[in-house]
Amino acid sequence: MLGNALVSRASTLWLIAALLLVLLPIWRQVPTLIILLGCLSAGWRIAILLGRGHWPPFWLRFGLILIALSSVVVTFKPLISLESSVSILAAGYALKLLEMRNQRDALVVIYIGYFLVATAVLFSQTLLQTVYLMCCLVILIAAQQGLFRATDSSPIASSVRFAGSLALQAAPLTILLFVLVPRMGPLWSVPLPDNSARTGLTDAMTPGDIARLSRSDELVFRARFSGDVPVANQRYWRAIVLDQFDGKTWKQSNKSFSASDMSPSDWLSKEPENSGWWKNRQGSYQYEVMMEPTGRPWMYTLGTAGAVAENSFFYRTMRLAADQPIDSRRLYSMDGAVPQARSVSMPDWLSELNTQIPDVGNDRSRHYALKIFNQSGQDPVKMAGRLLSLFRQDDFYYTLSPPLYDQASSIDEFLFGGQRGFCAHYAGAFVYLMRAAGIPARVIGGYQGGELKEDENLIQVRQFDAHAWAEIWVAGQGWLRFDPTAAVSPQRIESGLEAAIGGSETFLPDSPLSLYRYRELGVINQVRLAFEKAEYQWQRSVVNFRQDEQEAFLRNLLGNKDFYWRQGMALTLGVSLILALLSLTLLYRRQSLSPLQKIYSSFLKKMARRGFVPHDGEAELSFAHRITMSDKALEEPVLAFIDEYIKAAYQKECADLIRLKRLLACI
Amino acid sequence: MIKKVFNQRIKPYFINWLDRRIPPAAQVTLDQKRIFILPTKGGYIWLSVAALIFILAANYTNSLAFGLSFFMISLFMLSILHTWRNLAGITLVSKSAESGHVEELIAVRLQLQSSDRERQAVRLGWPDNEQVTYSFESNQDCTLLVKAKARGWFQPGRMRVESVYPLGFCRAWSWVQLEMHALIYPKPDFSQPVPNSKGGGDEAGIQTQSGQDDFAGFRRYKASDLSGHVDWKGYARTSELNTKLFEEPVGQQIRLSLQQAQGGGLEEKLSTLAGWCLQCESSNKPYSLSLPGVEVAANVGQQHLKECLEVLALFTSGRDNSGGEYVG
Repeated sequence: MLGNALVSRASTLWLIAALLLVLLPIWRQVPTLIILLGCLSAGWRIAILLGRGHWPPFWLRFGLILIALSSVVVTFKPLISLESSVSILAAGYALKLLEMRNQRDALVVIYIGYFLVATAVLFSQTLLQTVYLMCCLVILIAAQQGLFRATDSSPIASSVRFAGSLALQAAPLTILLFVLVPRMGPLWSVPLPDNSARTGLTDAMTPGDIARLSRSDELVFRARFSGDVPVANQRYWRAIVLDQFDGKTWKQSNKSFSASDMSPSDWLSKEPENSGWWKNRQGSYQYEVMMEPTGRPWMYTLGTAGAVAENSFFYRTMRLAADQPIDSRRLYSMDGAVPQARSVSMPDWLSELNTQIPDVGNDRSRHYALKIFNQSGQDPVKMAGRLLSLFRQDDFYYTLSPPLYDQASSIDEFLFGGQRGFCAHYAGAFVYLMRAAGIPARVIGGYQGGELKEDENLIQVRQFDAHAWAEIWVAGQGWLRFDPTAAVSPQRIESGLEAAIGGSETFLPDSPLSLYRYRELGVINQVRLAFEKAEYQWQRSVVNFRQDEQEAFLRNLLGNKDFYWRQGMALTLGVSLILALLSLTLLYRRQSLSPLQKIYSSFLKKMARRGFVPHDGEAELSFAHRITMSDKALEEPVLAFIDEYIKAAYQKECADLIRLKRLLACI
Repeated sequence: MIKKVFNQRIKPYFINWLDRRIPPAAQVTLDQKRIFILPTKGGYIWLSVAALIFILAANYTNSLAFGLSFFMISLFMLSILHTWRNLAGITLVSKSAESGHVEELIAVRLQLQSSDRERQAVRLGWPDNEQVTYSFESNQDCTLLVKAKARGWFQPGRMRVESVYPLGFCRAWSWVQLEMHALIYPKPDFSQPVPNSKGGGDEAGIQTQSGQDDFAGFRRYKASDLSGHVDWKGYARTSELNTKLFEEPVGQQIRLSLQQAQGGGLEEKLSTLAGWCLQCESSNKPYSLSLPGVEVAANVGQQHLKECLEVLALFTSGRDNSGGEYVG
């Protein structure tokens, strides 16, 4: 019965709307051709509805499938990935519309729609995306219920209202299941979303990279502090350590780095303290970082970190990296252990790595470095101070659009020619000069600053906070941080990029609509802050509600004793309770009987027990007469009652209910 | 095989149980005692899609995908309530049914009463017969064509009322038996010729009674005479208004009885008799019907035909012939 009925025009329109809405959030992941196919089949279907088109013949449908598949094959290398599977699903979804004639086909289309919604949340889980997908779900429900309506018209407003109310009614149950149903870990490994095209720090720094990042207001991470929050000029978020310079770019030594007389455990460790690299002391900041996926392994720490977060390890360069590239949002906490500077050791190979510069090029800078080094009494710290005052006093400018420096002698040109640049130029030149003087030094890449949200103790860091600074090695004091940019442009460190570039350059030129640009406007800023707060809470408590978080939360709530039994009980009871409440509200029919009607219905019950049931349409009096005909004993009380009842019910006199009750009791 | 066993063994119990649970009545309100509900194929597929999304969520440790699969499961549970609610409280009232012959389509008039809320896509009909689907808010009259299966009081068996609205995950249905006050006459059989007329006595002279076939003379016009019988031609000639008289031999009346019908069992004979009655009626010959224990005097006219057909419809030769048949 179900299945062969034709799809009504109204539900076809609903299905087309659902198709377009569901394809929208995944358009970035899917080849453009498939999105075009989706639009084509929607348009074609509308033409058929309008009576202007014919059903596509088999060869055409087959051809379209071939086109879709070949576009997937061409676009994706390697072929098996999450994106390619989603593309094939989307293509099937779009093309099924062209052969959807009966209810069964339409149901297939709708079910694929739900599946596509599920894949859309794999790519993005922001609050906005979630709200959007909820709207998609409502449209899908409306389309589905339209299929089963008998009438051809399903009015938009009432369909949406009905679908919305269904979704709302399903919400409590969904939330309960979400909180209580035990989560499973991954059953098998799956291809993860491809993050290679994301903007973010890379492990090779050419000055252009940071300029590019400074144009983006994309969120990088949020850090919530459980105690003190560092002041603005102390917020140095370490991500990468660039210790190799080839004359053009600064690079980071990766996992496979090795040197003679160095064992692998000297480079990587799970416990830096046990490896004897340094000793830790308790630092002053404890915080929890929620980082957006980057597709790269490094993790952010406030300054140097001494301890390892879960599923990560340490590099000797005092940075933290995850076991795997970070492809989904990740939450980790740092317990505040920091290395004791004096205990940091410096083997020869490390010293060699950190003093390496190309043998040729930038001759002027080399000589200049040696000159300064000697002038400062061969004291690294004094030399650093001289360099900083050079940047401060000479004609150096902080700008995001510096002139292009020739690659072969970029340091020379910057220091003695252009003298215009931003953090990457200053840090690079500083470290080059230190190295040229034989002092171990390195460029640190990461983020500096961030927006503090005081009511949440939270710092939110965006891509335009990207920064580069320097570290030099001083025997007996360990690695010391120097930020040449602070010398040139103190505002950059104290107040952020926007203040640093002042009115001379446009802040966030690529995102004219970015709410962040309008922080000065009170209302917009309040909206932005409220939204960001909601987003953080959403990510922190809902999106991040995974297996471990769930168990911790529930153990806290239900108690540790017989935990699984309690979880099961809570689930069963909760589901039954919600279903019972829903049934009550949905199914309970209010029968509001007046007191008079109540008396009469109890009279009817009494009579029914004696075997008298009124016929359809039988009036009270004739019913009473029928009773008295067959049972003389009842004659007097029944007639008395009925007389009184009729008087009360029809003569609109003030009903004497007490008397009626007494008469009823007599029967 | 299974179907055969089901039909022979289980079905009678089922019907018996249904009869106790939902006894026939002139009006039936669907309530929890009368509504059954089970998931449809679409519902099972829905649950498996939800399970697939659950596995997807587990593999990607994605909370929102978990949430979606829970939402789908919740929607399924909710739709059970909604589908049930769509049927619950509907009152079916049997309005009337026309009489007719076996194997004719009988128009059954029903009223669907929805006391308190809008109903969507309620489908009703007898198995193997026309099915209709209605959406209604208060009262909905409907007419269903049902094939009559056996003579006697019209008993089309149980009617199925069902709905899968809103999401098609579950089907709620009920088997309703409504009392119908219509008679089903035997299927007319015109294969045998109508028996010849027989005179009342042997040769007791030809009695006549005034009829309409043979012209017998004139008499003066009375106000009650049919205008078709007025001798208009004579009026034109003589300006005297006369009425033509016709005669019809009494012996022309046909006496129909069970014995005259040839061959077969009782039902075939009754069919033959019904056919004869209809033929006599259409050729306007007076006929009488005589069955064991029942006699219908000779006459002609719709009222008479109806009387004869009713006798034929209800005739039992000692055995109970309720005629109705349930279809499970």
